Amino acid sequence: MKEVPHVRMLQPDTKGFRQAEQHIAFERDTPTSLNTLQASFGKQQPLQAVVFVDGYAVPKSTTYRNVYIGWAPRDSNHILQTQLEIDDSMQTNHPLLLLHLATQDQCRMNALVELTVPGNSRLQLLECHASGLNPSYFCRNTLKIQLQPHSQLHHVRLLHNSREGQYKLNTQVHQQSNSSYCLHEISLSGTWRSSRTHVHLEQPNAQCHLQALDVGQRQQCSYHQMTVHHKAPHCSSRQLHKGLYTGQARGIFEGQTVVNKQAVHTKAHQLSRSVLLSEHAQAYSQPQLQIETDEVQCGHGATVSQLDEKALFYLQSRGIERHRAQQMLTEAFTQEVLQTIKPVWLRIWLQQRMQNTINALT
Amino acid sequence: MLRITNLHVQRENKTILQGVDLHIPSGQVHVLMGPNGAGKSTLAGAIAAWPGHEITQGDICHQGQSIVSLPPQQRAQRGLFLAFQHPVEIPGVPLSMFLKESVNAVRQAQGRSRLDAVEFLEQARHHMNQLDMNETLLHRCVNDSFSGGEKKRTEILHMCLLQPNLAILDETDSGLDVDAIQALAQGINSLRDNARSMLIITHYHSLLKQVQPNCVHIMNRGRIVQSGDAKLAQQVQQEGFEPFQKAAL
Repeated sequence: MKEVPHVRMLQPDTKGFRQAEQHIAFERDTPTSLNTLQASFGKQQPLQAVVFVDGYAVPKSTTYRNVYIGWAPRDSNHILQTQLEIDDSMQTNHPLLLLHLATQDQCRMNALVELTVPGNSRLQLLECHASGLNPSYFCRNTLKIQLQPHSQLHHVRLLHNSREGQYKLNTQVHQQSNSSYCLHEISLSGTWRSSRTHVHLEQPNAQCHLQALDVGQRQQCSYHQMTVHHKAPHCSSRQLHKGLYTGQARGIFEGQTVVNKQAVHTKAHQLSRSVLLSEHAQAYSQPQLQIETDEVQCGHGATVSQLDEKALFYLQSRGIERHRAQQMLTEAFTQEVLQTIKPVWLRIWLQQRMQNTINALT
Repeated sequence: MLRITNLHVQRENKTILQGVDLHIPSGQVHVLMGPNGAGKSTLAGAIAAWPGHEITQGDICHQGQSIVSLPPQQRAQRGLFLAFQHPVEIPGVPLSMFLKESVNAVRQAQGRSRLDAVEFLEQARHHMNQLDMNETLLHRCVNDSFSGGEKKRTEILHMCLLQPNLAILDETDSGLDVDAIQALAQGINSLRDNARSMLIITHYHSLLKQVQPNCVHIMNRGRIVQSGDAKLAQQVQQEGFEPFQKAAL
């Protein structure tokens, strides 16, 4: 671990560092935390982690045993730039946790993280944005991902635990030949959030699968943009956006698939489904295809609806109370995104979180 | 058990049932037959409180109490069961979870103890064996990509688990192969006792060979036009509904 000028780092053995440690420990050890759950599944090995507290990097955290950070600052004008270097010492079959934690009120967190997944390797990235004590804060985060040939990345992004947060998240993914990128983006919290994901399929046979589950309540506002640029032949992409809005929440989805002239034999699919649980919730969906070549298979669709009355009646007619039937159908709606998340302990943890959120919603 | 008097039901402002009278005493199995569009499924829907089935006149009494103002879940909790003609597919809800929720909701409402996971599985496996069903169905989502036969068997499984005192089977035998009809008949016969009544809506005679009904009703144009014993079903099989249509006019 080396220190680099211009990068905001917490110094060990300072008050700030100790506070950060406490918050990380809280985030790690609460009954709902990832680590506790992972341990309950018999995985004693701690998560490998990169931790940011209030936008500062925590260089040597005692609460996570394995912390990997490589530094590559360029014009670090209060922007943290971190380049994660994946090497042989990392166990790529264990998830890498990228934890952004807010502890102070009104703080602004800026981070630019670059990640390169080397050829022929496989990695799971677990990106969490959380705050233990509900401060209001602003988080601007850019994640640049390079996938080298024959590499695989499963990226799970979680926005949870932070009621008053505001997010502006940018994700740029550049994929080389035969690489595969899978994103699960689960957004549960924050008053305002904007997420833009741009995937560039630059070489043949690359594939990506983007899935977002967006839950809005109260006056939350969320904006999701997903764009896939097909730039090479024989690539495939799937986009799935699911929105669940109640109260006066608003959700906006813009999905775009761009197929360039040289991207023949492209397969692209795009679907957005939103369910409104209250009278004043709103959802806007705009799926777009921009195709500049022939010989492609592309499809898109969008629906905005309420819970299916026929299914509700079916459940009620078997003795289940309407309120519980609504919860069951709402949970079922989220399953399409959640059920493909791996490993199992993470999926179960997320399903429990989602269940709690839905019980509070309905 | 069930007494329906002068029932008029509207769907989308169109009167479908025009004065149905029906009485099913405890322990009896009645059969309802009739041409397409006669109002059989509307009657079943009205008994189960399906939204959109507006009762404009008449009454439905279950165990001596009027149930027309009760929501569907309360009717189910009283022991009323409707097997759907077209069971609804619910992706994302595992069948085991749905059945367990339903059984426990009904048991709780009836003041009985809830089943834990082990007890529930034991019961489910027992009935699935009887119905010749594959246990892996429990882990799949409710009716999602089930075959026609699997859907109908699942309805019967649910009925066996809930042990209702009044079951209405809306064309449950439609689209089933010979073996499935036999399994269905076994399921029905295993539930028959002095405290349970059933109303079987069907187009076919084959089920009635294995389930002996106490009474057969013919429905046409929103009314029950003739009632009789099992021979009536045979007559329908041979002559069709033509003679009864004239009777309705």
